[in-house]
Amino acid sequence: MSTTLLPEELPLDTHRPTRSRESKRYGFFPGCVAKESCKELFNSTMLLAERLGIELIELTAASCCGASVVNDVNRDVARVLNARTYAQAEALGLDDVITICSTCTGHMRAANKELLESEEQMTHANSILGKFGAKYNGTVTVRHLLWLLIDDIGLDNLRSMVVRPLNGLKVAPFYGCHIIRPENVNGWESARNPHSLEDVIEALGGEAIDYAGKTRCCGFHVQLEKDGIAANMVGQNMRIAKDHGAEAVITPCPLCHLALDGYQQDAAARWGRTDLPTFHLPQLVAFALGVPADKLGLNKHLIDPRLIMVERELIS
Amino acid sequence: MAKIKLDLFRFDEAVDTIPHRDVVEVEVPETTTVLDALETAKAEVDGSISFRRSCRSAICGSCAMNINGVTGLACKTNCKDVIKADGSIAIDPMPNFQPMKDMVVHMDPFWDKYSRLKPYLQPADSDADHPTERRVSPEDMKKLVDVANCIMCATCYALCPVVSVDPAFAGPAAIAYAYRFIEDVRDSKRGERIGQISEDYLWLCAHCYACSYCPKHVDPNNRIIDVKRAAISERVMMDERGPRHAMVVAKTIKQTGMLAETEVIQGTVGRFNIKGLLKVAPLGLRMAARGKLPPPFLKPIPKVDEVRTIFESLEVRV
Amino acid sequence: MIRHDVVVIGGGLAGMRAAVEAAEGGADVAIVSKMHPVRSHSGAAQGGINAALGNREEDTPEAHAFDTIKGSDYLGDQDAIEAMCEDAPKQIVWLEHRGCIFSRMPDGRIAQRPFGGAGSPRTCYSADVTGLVILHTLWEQLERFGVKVYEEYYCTALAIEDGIGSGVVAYNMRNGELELIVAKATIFATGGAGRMYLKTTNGYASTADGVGICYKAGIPLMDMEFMQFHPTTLKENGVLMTEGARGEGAYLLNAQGERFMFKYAPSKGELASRDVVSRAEWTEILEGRGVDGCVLLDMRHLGREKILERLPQIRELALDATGKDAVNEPIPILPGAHYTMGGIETDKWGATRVPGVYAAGECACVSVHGSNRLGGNSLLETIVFGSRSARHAIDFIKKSGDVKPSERTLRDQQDRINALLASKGGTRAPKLRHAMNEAMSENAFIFRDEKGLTKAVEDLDRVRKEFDAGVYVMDKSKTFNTDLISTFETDFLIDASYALAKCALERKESRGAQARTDFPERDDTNWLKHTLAWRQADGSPRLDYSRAVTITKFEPQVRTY
Repeated sequence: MSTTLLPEELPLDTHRPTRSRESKRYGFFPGCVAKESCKELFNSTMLLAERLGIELIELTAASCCGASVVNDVNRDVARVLNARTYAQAEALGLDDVITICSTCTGHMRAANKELLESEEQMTHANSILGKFGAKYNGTVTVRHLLWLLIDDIGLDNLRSMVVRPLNGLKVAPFYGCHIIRPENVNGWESARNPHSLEDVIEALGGEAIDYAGKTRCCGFHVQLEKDGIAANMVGQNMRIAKDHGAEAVITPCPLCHLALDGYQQDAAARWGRTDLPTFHLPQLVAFALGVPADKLGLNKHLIDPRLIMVERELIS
Repeated sequence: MAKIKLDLFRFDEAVDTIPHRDVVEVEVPETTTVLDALETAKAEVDGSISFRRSCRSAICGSCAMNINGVTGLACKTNCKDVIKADGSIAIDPMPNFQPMKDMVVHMDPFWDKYSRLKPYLQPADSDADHPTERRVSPEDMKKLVDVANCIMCATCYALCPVVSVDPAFAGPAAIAYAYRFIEDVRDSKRGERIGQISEDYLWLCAHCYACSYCPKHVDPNNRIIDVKRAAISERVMMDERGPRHAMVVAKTIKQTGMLAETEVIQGTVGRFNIKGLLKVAPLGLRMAARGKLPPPFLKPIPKVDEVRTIFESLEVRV
Repeated sequence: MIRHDVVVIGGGLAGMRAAVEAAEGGADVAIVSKMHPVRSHSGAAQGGINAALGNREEDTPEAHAFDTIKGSDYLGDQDAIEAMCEDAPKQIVWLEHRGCIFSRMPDGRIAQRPFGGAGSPRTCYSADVTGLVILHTLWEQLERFGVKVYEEYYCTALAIEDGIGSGVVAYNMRNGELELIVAKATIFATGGAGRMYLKTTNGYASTADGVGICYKAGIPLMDMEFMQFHPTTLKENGVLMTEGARGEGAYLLNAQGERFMFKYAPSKGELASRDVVSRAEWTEILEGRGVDGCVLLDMRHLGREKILERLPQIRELALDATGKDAVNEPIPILPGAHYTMGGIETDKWGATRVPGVYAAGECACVSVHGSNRLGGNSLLETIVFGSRSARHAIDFIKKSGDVKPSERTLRDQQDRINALLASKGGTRAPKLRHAMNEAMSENAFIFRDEKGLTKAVEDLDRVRKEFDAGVYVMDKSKTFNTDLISTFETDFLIDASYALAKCALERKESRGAQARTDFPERDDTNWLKHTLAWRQADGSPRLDYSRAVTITKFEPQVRTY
């Protein structure tokens, strides 16, 4: 599909090679939700990293990325908070920061884009970082683990590492807005028709379900704004997925996971029952690569994925 | 030359209760746009195929339609970029609108969102006080340039997932147009305008950036955030969910370096808002049963004072 | 039956300006438009609107008037031109006061850029979307005054009763019903007729509607032979690349990399008048110095920043159509049909010969552009004559009595539509339109001669007769029947084309946009006069040269740039 992106709009760091790729030592920013209500995401990620033979070095002093919401309060805060995070990565000798949340990806990349493209913004951010002796030199690239899987590990390689193929489990991808839009912030794949998640699903031996809701919004950010809004946003997407034969959903964003996992029950009244369990991306990949199922926190989900996994003879 | 199969939505509200599809094959130059292909189909095959179009150069905004599942301007979409492996292109009316005839939809609700804005300049003083133009610096005028490019094609409105579940939402185009007046230094109704758009559910925008597909680079997504910031800086409707949510998230980040989920929920709903808290309680209980409840209190991150320094340097009032 | 004091046909700049003037003047006014006003082709205007504000350099309305008169190759009516140039600064200020987003100078005043044929930079602009911003400002004023718009109503005929305009018949596109709209004053503001040609900058809607309607109702057209071919249009789709690019300093180059314009216009170069530039380009192309049938518009030396700030739209249009980024490469362009200097004959207030009937904007011929229009004067014309015709109309209706509703016009139109919808087979309008387009593009383009124009007239006469014998409308629906609308539009275009070709054939001279290879000189002795065309029963035009050109200050001189 033709992109609306003009030539100068693609961010400088989208396809920039990093030292981490060679060294397999990456900076790692898990984000807030992976440490609070979605600890299973954090744990699966670390176990996956082991299997992949990469080292994820957590930036423990990094702050929240701003979660898109702080932009509503002030236009500079998110940029400077993330500049601080990048400065920390640089101080550890790292030039790659890996995220496991679509929201973090989009907003950290937006901040990096502003810093890399405007000397004025970089100087301004550094003037504040300087107050506590930090400095960002513009060498960090922010990527989601999904991109690492495809660019650094490679789909063929990933396929060869699979020890527990998914037996044709029908998985619907749910990207989460901020890992693909806006194109002039991410630009790693087409926002209108991405296929990275489908490629991963197929590499793991599952069947990817293509459906209209895969790039739409789950409503997480406005769930408290008006009664029923998130249930409707979730319901309208899960209905289409279910009607296209999906048995489960995979998402690279824990906020989407919370919405999809939590609101299908409320959505049923208007949209009919869907009951689709929602895997975190690292959970399903880790499983296929042989990490024991009981280590993946599958029991924490509100819609239990183990039911369909038993049905598909993936676990007993 | 290339052969293209146009897989068309057909519907006439005067006679049909349900739509059907027609596949029309045309032969067109390889560089053809979807609009040109439609015109060819209409001229050579079936004169009843109906769609709006005028300028064919992405300035009139008439030809927004759903092409292979994504809304965009037919005149700006090249067939070779969207043609599927089987040589077909699916064409439907844009979503979030009621179809009238084939790709022509009822646009009144969209225009109504604009009317509600009182979308015309309301200066503080009389025009008679200015024998020539009111002076506006280039920097001030530049703020309006992006929105000035809006052609009101409704692509953003059609793509908006919030509009699709709640048609009361003003939608990206109208909010961006509200911005056009809120930031026009010649206008005197900034406060009222922020109030009006806040009431038209400004805060329902989920920041999904679907509207970043705007064919004219208006970036309504960023204009909406600009309006939200203006609302907070002018302290408009601060007791409503939207502003409360933004403020409490900022506050927990400042205090702990993280977005503290539990406190954010309480702060957004209102610590003493029993009715509101009862509404979110069922989901909370289900999460608690799975051990998924976020911790009630968060330990601040290491070097959190640096975060506070950032907030203070930027004079963020939370 | 619907009644209003004033009805305006067309919702573009001229139409909306007229309606706002009428509404503010207390009249009960309504707009009838075949599309939502903001879809009007006025929005496609890019480069700017002229006025002697004198913000960038010293300037006077008189200097503006002289440039316009010279630009018109002395066929423009000088009193009307003076009135327009005098009114221009006030109208720009009016627009700005209502919020129009003009680009600004550092000191906050409205910025002005140089344009073709102008002695001083007087073209006010908003990046390269000037038409769009003015369109929005006027639409906002429609909202402010709650002006009624009959949206997606297609006007099919003018009603004249007892020699006085009594309103129009309009077809409701959404449900297929025909309405008689009775009005004491009717103002046509229906735009241009670029769709007479195969390749044009004009959108699909520029189909000579008002011109065709008035012509059929017995109102003469004036100066139809003069069609402006804009020098810089894209080969792929005819889309416009604004003159503003040259105003900002872009070059025109031939295959040898020469700035060839200085051969033809030693003083002004690329910023000569449009007819001069188009002829120069076409000559270069015909003589083998073109690149794939085009010449090159080179903006590279302007630099990325300036292009992105002042010309972002055309850069993207070129990128979409050609794949070339104007920041890095020159863009191939060639002349294309752009603007009709001719149109419905009016006086300097926009009044036609029929009391109660007015015309403003591109569909009218006042004449302020004579045989060639300067860039930036069309947007100006819409605003000035939109407001002037409305003012005159408001005065007129104060004195006029009630008008007689024209039931017979309504019946005639209903019969006509019924017949078209009942048609069972035969040639469809698109085929006839294509034949007309070919005749025009081949023989009524930039360089014309007796042989070619005679053939064009013959071809068009044949098309006219074939259309009248019975045309087949395939869509029988009552809902949004664009096949039916296209058929009406084709009918009006055939009339306009026929008038153009015949008037061009009979004018044995070259002047402004008319370039006759067999009569290469301007002949003031015999031809310093307007051409009037009256429609005859068989569709052919009867020509009449009774209307002289009004000369006030500036005697015709040799015209060089």
